Amino acid sequence: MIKRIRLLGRKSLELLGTLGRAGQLWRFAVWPPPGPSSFVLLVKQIYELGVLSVVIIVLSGFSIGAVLALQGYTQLVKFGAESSLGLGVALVLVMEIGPVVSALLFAGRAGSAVTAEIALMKATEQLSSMEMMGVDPVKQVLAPRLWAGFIALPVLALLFSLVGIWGASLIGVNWLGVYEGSFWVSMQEGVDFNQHVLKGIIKSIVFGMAVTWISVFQGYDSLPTSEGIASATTRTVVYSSISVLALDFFLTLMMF
Amino acid sequence: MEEDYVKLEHIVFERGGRAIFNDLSLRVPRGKTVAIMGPSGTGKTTLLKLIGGQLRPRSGRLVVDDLEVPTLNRQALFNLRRKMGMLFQSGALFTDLSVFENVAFPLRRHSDLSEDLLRDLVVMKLEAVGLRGASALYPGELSGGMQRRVALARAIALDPELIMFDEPFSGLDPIAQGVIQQLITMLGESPDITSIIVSHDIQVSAKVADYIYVIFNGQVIGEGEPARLQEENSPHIRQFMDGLPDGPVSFHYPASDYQEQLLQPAKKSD
Repeated sequence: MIKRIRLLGRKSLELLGTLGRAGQLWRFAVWPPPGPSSFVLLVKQIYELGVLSVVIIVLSGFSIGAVLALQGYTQLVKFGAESSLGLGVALVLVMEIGPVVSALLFAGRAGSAVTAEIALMKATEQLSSMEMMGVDPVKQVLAPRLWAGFIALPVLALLFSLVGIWGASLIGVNWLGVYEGSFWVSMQEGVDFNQHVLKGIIKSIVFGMAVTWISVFQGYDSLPTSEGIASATTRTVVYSSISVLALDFFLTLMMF
Repeated sequence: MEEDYVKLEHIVFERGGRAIFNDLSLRVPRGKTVAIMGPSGTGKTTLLKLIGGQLRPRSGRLVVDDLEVPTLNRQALFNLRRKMGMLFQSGALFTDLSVFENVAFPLRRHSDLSEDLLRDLVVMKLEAVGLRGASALYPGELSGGMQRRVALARAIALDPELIMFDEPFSGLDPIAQGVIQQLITMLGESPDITSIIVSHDIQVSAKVADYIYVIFNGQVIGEGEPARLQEENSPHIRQFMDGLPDGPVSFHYPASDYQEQLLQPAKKSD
């Protein structure tokens, strides 16, 4: 019994320590945002995290949009409501699937890469050597990656939704024969920027912060061994996915 | 009297409940080359991290260039580190940057030099380590010895007052070892540069150092000029200087009785 209490105490202390270190990292890395001297570093990271994720986002967005159109049409046509296909697909993509699936894909593609890169830099003493040169690795390495993630994910989520809608239109209009006018007009009339699009963007900003924070922290806090790097990368994907799904629930509860 | 650039007084440092340093005191005079030696696992690298402010001692006084390192805030610490250069055992080069950019990195971060002047400085540093011709290569394309030389060029890029060498001779072939030794000797000749070499290579360290400290079990067990230390009679020093496999530093890791263990039935943990 004593052993279990001791174990519980130790695990609680470890958890509190981890949260404290993650909080400190947030405090030192996020504010002030990268200035003109770090602009090149930020652009490079936006390219690494954002631009290089475009292919997977476009392919996934297209297939999910296409599948939504197929499934939606099958159900809606039973009630003669296939003209609402555009509206249904757009709402689902912009409010839910776009932000959530983009964040999950981003965690798998970019988040894991960020963790592995930072963890390897730590294991090979590159971060230590930076510190010893009087250069703060938090500002030089971590902050640009954090801000790049904050910026990239909302843009990727919007791109995901746009490509998804395009995929849905190709399937719904060009293949299944839904009237083009009603497909687009229902969408135009039913989707409100403040009510739907903006809330989707807010979601993706929050997801971007969570996923990038987890990725950067896991890399920086990893053990400098090959096992340490492997488990940090796994933790990034697992914790990010769980956080995104949990945050999605609470944000939906609060906003809609 | 010589002025001390680095001074450690009664330093206590623990990690995971184990005392790495227990009342450790030593001094490094300005402009001198001091070697800190001792068996593996005695915390030599940890000592450099304490001096660089990457770790904080539990108690004791640690002064670098008249500044109490453990009391410095983040900004003051980074300012102090601009006067330091450190050669890591692994080289710790930035793998995504070329040799040229690795050496240029501290200059770009800490100065507003024009691109022409910066280029000239980097070329001079690379020429000093004999790798001017390798400036376009990436760390992955270099041998271990070459990486160490690039790291040395980067460590001296800002003309530091203190250079710390972490095991600079380990894992190198004799030629590369000779090159590094020559470079350290050359730097040591400058009266403005204070050097600390952490190593367990007695022969080479004795050639380049003005003074040697031997640490064991968290304390200094011997010190002196290289020639004097060679004549020291203490069993600890003799075992280390003569490279004896057994002595005060036991060859065997602490274990239960040998005979008893052999006679007992095997368990999984055995």
